Amino acid sequence: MMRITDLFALGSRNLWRRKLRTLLTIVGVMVGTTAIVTMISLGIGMNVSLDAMISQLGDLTVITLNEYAYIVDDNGNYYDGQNTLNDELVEKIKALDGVVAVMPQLQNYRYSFKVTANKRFENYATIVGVDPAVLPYFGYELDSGEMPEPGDKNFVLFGAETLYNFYNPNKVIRDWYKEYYNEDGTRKPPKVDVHSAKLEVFGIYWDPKTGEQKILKKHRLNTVGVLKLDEQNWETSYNIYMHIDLVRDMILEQEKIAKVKATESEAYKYNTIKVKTASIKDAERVQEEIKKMGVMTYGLSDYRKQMQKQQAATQYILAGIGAMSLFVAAIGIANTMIMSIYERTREIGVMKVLGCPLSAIRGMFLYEASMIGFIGGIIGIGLSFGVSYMFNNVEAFKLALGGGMYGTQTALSIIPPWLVLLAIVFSTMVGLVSGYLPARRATKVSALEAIRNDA
Amino acid sequence: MIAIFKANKSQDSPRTAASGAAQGDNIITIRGLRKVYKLGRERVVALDNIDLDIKRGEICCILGTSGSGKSTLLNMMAGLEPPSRGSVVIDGVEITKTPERKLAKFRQEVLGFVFQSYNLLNTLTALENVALPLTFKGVPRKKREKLAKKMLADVGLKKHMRHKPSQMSGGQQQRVGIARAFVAHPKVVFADEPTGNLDSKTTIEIMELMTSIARKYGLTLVIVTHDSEIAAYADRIIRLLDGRIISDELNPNPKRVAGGDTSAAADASETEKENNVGGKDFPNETVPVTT
Ligand SMILES: Nc1ncnc2c1ncn2[C@@H]1O[C@H](COP(=O)(O)OP(=O)(O)OP(=O)(O)O)[C@@H](O)[C@H]1O
Ligand SMILES: [Mg+2]
Repeated sequence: MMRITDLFALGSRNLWRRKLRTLLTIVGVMVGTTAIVTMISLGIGMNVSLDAMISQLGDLTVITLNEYAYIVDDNGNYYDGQNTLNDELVEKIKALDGVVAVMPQLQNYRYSFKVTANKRFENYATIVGVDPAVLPYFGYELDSGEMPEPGDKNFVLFGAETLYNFYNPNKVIRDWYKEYYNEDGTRKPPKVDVHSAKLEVFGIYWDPKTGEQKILKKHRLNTVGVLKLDEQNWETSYNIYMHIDLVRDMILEQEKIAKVKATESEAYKYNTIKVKTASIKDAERVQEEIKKMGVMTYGLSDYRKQMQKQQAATQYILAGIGAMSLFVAAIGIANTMIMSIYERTREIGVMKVLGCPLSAIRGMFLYEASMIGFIGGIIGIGLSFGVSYMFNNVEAFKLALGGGMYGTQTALSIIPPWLVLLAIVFSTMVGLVSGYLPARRATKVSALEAIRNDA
Repeated sequence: MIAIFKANKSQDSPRTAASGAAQGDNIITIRGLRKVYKLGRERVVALDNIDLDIKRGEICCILGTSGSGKSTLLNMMAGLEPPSRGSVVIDGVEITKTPERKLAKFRQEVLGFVFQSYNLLNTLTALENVALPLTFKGVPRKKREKLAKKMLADVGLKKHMRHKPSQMSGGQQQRVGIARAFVAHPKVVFADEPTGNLDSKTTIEIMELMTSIARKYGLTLVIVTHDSEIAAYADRIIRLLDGRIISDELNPNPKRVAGGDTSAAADASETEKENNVGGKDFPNETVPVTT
């Protein structure tokens, strides 16, 4: 068998012999590669921009499980469902790979709780029980005050909006608007400074028979924090967070008076479980695994998937434009190789007479064709980086193409390393495929061509 | 070997390729070879029922006028073209039944070829051209260049090793062609009008060169020509006319290289023929045969 290095050397010399033609064919591949890489880089830029936009909406690595799920399936249909969220599930989820923290949230709808400030002001905002140890994982940010220590059972975190819920029930208010707003339409400050006020929380039991109110045990709230206002996230704006054990105690106290059976207790049923994962990939996988447990979930990654599906069409069109020019380049390679066969008919005949194996003739042509693809691919990648830089940095382009797709500050065109590798492999393959038929044809040249004396 | 006598006509001879004993061993056996070209409705019978045996180490000339079918016969012997009918067996291989896929290896091992128009590869130097058959065989670069250099020295072109074909005269190119034909130590070398493009002085040089190398190594050489001057170098002259063998004669006194060992050469070639059969034809240089 002929040595592969000798085969390559012969092929390289043939390419070199027709420098200009080889160069022009390479330019064709280069343009094709540049087109396809640039188009794909724009598609990747779209994805990155989308992710940047979604991460502004919230944490992509957090999965939310709600007791009353409001689910969108893969086909975009909505349906209702109910999940049983309890400690058993929490433990199961904690055991999953890629889960960083789990935050069950205890809330109640059946009983009334009241937060008072200085015994005069009252607040009926929704109270959510959480474990302070996992709060940092879920991005709760303080505006003022302090975050609770993990063991602190008597903390309170006010959602920014809940501060305005404090009111004095004994004060007769004639004009509600004037009570809360200045004349120029701006809002008046909250009635209570929570940091200096004496804060207490307690349940109110309404006797269903007599309709009488009974005030239950009072709990002092010592550690006080106010959460940052987040327009995108109503949860952290309109809820008051306390220790999950405190909330549980208060629910159990109510249930004891109401004589609720242990099996129907609300104290161990969570309304929401939030799951923090290590990465977006983990989030998607963990979400699938939780679904397998029969629990419906919601994560921003669902939304992301849907958006990605929508922009896939645009990306296919972009890639299609690139593929078309690479297809033209492929025809260029095939054309060059066929011309080359015509030119070298006699030479191929001579090689055959001298004992060149058919496989070597085929290999030589395939090598030449794939070399054109390979070199064109490499130069094309270089050019793509230039075009990409232009898209990202020249103002005129940025204006024309609208900056990051979703108005984010991300680059318009992104070429990751895998794309570089893929483009080179692909352009080489294009060369190989376009060279296939010419190579086969070359092996069919008759050895008799060597004998003809007319050249 | 004193007088001209008729060579054994194969149909009269009981010998076949297979039965060939050491002494009268035939390297080429042709039986019932026929080639008909169809040009539209017209049929051209280029070869008509050829039977021919060529012995190992024989220098054989196929002589005939233009259109007599010489090239057709040679092409069929070398397996470049399939016959319409009949068989060609070379060194025990029936090449008329061998697919082209397998023919390459056979050509590497057994055949050499000298062309009328030299057919050197323009992109390669003289040295690389000579080494080409070895390249196809898979001989490593160093080894094949060493063999090719030696071969180039034998044809007197040591100084032209690095020249491209375009930088050499026709005679020099044909010397390179001869070196290329012999470098892989084939058993049979075919030459179709090897001097057809050369002047008479160069023709003599080339013929002397080819026949002396063939005799030195005891190779079988089949030369096609229309020039009886050239035929004078052969041991045996086969005349063709209209696709038939019209005469087949041994040459009692083939032309030799002027001076030196000419007289002894005739006997020497006989002994070398013996060596040939024993496979010791290239005592110093053994080309590895890759399988
Ligand atoms: N490919 C072909 N197609 C048709 N006819 C052919 C072909 N090749 C050869 N012939 C015919 O076969 C006959 C023998 O041709 P061939 O080439 O063997 O002659 P030749 O003896 O080599 O002649 P020359 O000395 O001119 O080379 C001629 O009549 C020629 O026209
Ligand atoms: Mg001829």
